[in-house]
Amino acid sequence: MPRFLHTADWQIGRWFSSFDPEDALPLAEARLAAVERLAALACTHEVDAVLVAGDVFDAQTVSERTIRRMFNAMAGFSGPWVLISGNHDAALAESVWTRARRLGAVPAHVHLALRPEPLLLEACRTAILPAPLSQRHTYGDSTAWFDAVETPAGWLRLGLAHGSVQGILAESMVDATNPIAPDRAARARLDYLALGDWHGGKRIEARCWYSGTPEPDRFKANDSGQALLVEIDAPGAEPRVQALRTAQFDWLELSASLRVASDLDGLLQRLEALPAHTVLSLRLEGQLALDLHQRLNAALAVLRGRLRHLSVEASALSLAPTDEDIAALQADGYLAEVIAELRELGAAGPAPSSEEPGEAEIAREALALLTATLAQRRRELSA
Amino acid sequence: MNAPLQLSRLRVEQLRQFRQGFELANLQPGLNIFCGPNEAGKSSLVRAIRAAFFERHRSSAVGDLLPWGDSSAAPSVELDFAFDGHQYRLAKSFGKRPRCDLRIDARSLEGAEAEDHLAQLFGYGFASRGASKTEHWGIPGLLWVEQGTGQELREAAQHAREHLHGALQSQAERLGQGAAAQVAASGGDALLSELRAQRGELLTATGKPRAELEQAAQRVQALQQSLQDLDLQIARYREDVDRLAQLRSQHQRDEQERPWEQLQQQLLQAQQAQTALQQSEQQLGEARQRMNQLQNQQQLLQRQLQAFAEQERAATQREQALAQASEQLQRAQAGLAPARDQFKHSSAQVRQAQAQLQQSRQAEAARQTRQQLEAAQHQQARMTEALQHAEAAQQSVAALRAPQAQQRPLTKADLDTLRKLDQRLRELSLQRQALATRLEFKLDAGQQLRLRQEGQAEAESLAGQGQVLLAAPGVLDLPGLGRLRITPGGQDLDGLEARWSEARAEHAAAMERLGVQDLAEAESRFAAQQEALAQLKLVEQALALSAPQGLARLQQEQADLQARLLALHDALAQQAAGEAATALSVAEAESALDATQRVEEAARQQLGRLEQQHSAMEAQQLQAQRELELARAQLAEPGRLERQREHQRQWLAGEAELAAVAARIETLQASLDRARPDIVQQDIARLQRSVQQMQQAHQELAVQIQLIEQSLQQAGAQGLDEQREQSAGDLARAQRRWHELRLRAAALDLLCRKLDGKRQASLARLQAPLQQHLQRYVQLLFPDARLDVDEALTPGLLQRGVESGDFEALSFGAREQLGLISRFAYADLLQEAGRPTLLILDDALVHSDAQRLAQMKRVIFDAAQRHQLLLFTCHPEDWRDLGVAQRSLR
Repeated sequence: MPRFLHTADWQIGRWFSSFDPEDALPLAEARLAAVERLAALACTHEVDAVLVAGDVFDAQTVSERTIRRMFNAMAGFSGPWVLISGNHDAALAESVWTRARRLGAVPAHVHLALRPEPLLLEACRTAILPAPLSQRHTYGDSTAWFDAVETPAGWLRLGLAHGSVQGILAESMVDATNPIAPDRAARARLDYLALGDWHGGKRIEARCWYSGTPEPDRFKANDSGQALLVEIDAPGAEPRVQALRTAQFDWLELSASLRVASDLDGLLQRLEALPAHTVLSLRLEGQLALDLHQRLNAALAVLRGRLRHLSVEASALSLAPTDEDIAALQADGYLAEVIAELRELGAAGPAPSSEEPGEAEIAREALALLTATLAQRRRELSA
Repeated sequence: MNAPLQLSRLRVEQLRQFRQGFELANLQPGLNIFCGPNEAGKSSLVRAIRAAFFERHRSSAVGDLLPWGDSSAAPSVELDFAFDGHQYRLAKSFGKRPRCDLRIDARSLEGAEAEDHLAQLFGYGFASRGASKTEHWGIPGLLWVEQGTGQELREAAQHAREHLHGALQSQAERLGQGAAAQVAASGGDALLSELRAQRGELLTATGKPRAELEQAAQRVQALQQSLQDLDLQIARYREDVDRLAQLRSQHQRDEQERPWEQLQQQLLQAQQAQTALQQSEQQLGEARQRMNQLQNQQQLLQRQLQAFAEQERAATQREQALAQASEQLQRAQAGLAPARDQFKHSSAQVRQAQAQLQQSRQAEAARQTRQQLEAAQHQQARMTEALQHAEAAQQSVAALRAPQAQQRPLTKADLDTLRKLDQRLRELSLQRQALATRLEFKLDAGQQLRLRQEGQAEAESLAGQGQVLLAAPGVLDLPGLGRLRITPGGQDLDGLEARWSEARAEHAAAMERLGVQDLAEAESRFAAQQEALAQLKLVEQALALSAPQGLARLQQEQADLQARLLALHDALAQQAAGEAATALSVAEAESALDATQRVEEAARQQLGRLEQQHSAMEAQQLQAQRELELARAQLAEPGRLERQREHQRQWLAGEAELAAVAARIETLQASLDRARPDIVQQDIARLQRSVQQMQQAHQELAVQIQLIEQSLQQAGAQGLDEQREQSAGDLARAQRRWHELRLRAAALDLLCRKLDGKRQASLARLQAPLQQHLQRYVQLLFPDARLDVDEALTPGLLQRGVESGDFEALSFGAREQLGLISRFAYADLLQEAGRPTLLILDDALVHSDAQRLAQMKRVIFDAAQRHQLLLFTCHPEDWRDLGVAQRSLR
């Protein structure tokens, strides 16, 4: 019974530029590790071939080391790997593929299907119809040729393509580049159409799937971090598709609105429950009293050390010292007057996200600075 | 207003030189003056007061209080003072037994609590560790003037400001002044200076980014730049990739389509067209040449045809000319006959005149002849007589000359020579006869012998009888017998013989020459000769008279005369015939002849002209005749007509061909014009270049492809996209940091501005009363002066009359004086706010001159009216006029 591992969007060479290098590096390494895990899964499940539906590389001009490491990572599975080019690594006149070949980095069992012509895998009596992208963006359906092409009778007929199935993925409708007809599998009499481009896993229909990326690289993709094990009993039979977990890190995006102590308690509880391999993006808004704000910062510092990555967007969260806070600071005379004015200014509006710091934002920062300094002084005096 | 602070007692023990207790009791309100020389302990007392207030009792930094060499001592200070209706006693000891006790009336405070209470009351702070420093001293730091620091006001005022604020605020609070409640803030200045320091880390005084903030901005900029560069490189890389694909497909297309071949085909066609055009041009040239030839030939033919016509016309003309000439000739002939008649007539007249003249001349001649004849006859008579005489003389001469003509005449010399020769010969002959051999002979008749003597040419025949003297040997032939040689003897014979022969020869020769036989004959002949000569002379004279020119001449003349006579006779006979016929003289006849001759001449000339004319006409006519004949002959020339016809035919044919050739030329030219060979030439050049360019471009394309491939390989090896991602990350972080720093800077700036603004406002509220107090003292020192208080509440501008100058620019002495004045003003201000004020001056005003010092004493005295003032000095004499007893420390 022929069995295939369907994967895509490895995006090797991807660098998470908004992260600190100490976080970005492991995440980049994780993408290579995912390939090694795929090779291991392929061995475990004794698949006949691994189908990689494009965007193997994140960019054309990745370093030679990256290219070599990628192909080295595939060494764990010595069966055939069939790779097509996607929009990130389109088979242009000069591309990452021409470089890889020039470097002699491509092992014999790795098939670079960079031309739209059937690839026949004799061992499993399977004809693979690749639809590699040879341009960064195409507006024609690169799988159109599947319909007419003949393959040996009694063989499986698998399509391998990279692009947006039209009408299914609303998000892709905007530019509608690299379109793929939704009924391509049926029209081209395919037993299975392995798709890439959508980083989350998705079933279009029984014979047409997006595998998603094996290692998540963004916060929004659902069902990413997996590969699909596809079993087809015979030509014409409906494939059995099973998702296999491959991700090393969970990418999570959280938002919280903080006003009172219980809001903070709830958030912190949730954060403490997160596993260490989480890549977290936290977006905070609201207003916190001085002590709560200090508590939050302390908790985030702990979390930052525990999670794989934490990024916090808190420009919409403002410090709101209470009257008690102010009283505790023992600010008298014109200091009290200044604090009052800053509170008023800071409450004027939410933090603008523009490049130039806004008046309110400055006022809030000023207030935080002033209160912090006063508190510090208080502590020194009382010490 | 509260009662001012009054210190009443000070006691120290185990402190510096005061190992034993030392007490200053009964301190007075107002001015107290303590004097003592150096080392007397003034400074130690001042230090003791400071330590009592400023140093924590547990401070370990009070080693300087210990007596020298006694580290185990416990320096202690005791102070009694009254303030605000309360009695205070402070007892403080340091070192081994640190302790602080404060009694306020009945209340007791201990340790830090006591210290803090005092600090609060007097307005100062403590050092958190170590010795108290000026920044902690607050208000006392301002009012307690250490030795030599009276002029340094600014720093002390700054350290005191907080406490001033606090002091003034508490006063305001006490007075329930709500607005004034905000004039100060506790710790405000320290906070502000800290915030300012923090702001200063990010911003310059004028608000420009500096240090970290500036670096962050620069880093953002640099990263943006590098990101841009990378983006540019990537964009270029992508463009190159696209371009590579495009070039490759173009190259491939060109390889397949080979578009230049089509152009090459076009080029070939153009070249063929050009060849055809060149041929056409050649044909055109040939046709033009042919036309040229034809035109020449036609011209030639036409000339010949014209010549033929000319000949015919000439013949006609000749006929006409002939007719004309004949007519003229006839006219000439007609005129000729009368002329001839005229001439004949005139000629006859001339001949008649000539005859007349002849007759006249003959008559004249006859007359002359007759005269001549008479003269000739007369002459003849004379001549005949002379002739007779001459002829007679002539005959005599001839007769005389005849003998002489036969012989040679002898001269006297010849005769003398002969006479000598004859003499000599006779002498020699005698000698010879005497010596010579004599041969005598007698021969028979008919017999002869021949003798030949030497020296003789011929042999001598001897016949008969004779003798021969032989003077030289001789040979005698004896016929039939031989010869006899006879040689004469004698010795001299030979010589003699020779001389004799010679003389005889000479003698013979002379006679021979003279024609004589002997001397006698010669003598006689000579005499005869002489006589004949004389006779001849006479006769010749007679002849010469008769015929001076010779007889022959005379005879001839005579003959001539005779002939002439005869001729004259004849002439006369003839002349006599015409003599009678004429009556005209010669001259008349000649004149008549002349006239007729002239007429004849005119007629002759006329005739000559006419004849000449006539002969010219004749010649002309003859010429015309000949020409006509010639012309006719030409016309009649055999084959002429055929030739003319042939030429005519050729000319016509030529015209036809000419037209054909012209048409051909036109056609060719038109076709050439249409084909535009220049454009074809341009086409060829253009196509050649195009082909070349296309091929070149094709090759260039290949080169470009290679170049781009290489460039892409190099660029690809750099991992641009990875670099870019990392660079973008760096940028994002740098931007974040920049934003944070900017926010912090802006916040700090805002805080500083706000705090500063508030503080300024509060200071302004302090300035006015302080200014008032200050002015009170300044006018004691400088009656017309005004001293302004600046933002720092320290003296600023001093105005004295029209002069003005900053406090800091004043002399040391003046600054010290004004510094003290300011402190007094602060004290006044504080006292008004109900705060305790104690003024301590340690050796103040040492730099003041006497006059200023006097003024300052008034100031001090005035201040002492409101504040307790402790004045320590080592110059007691300076302070005797303050109305206070000085207390010596000794």
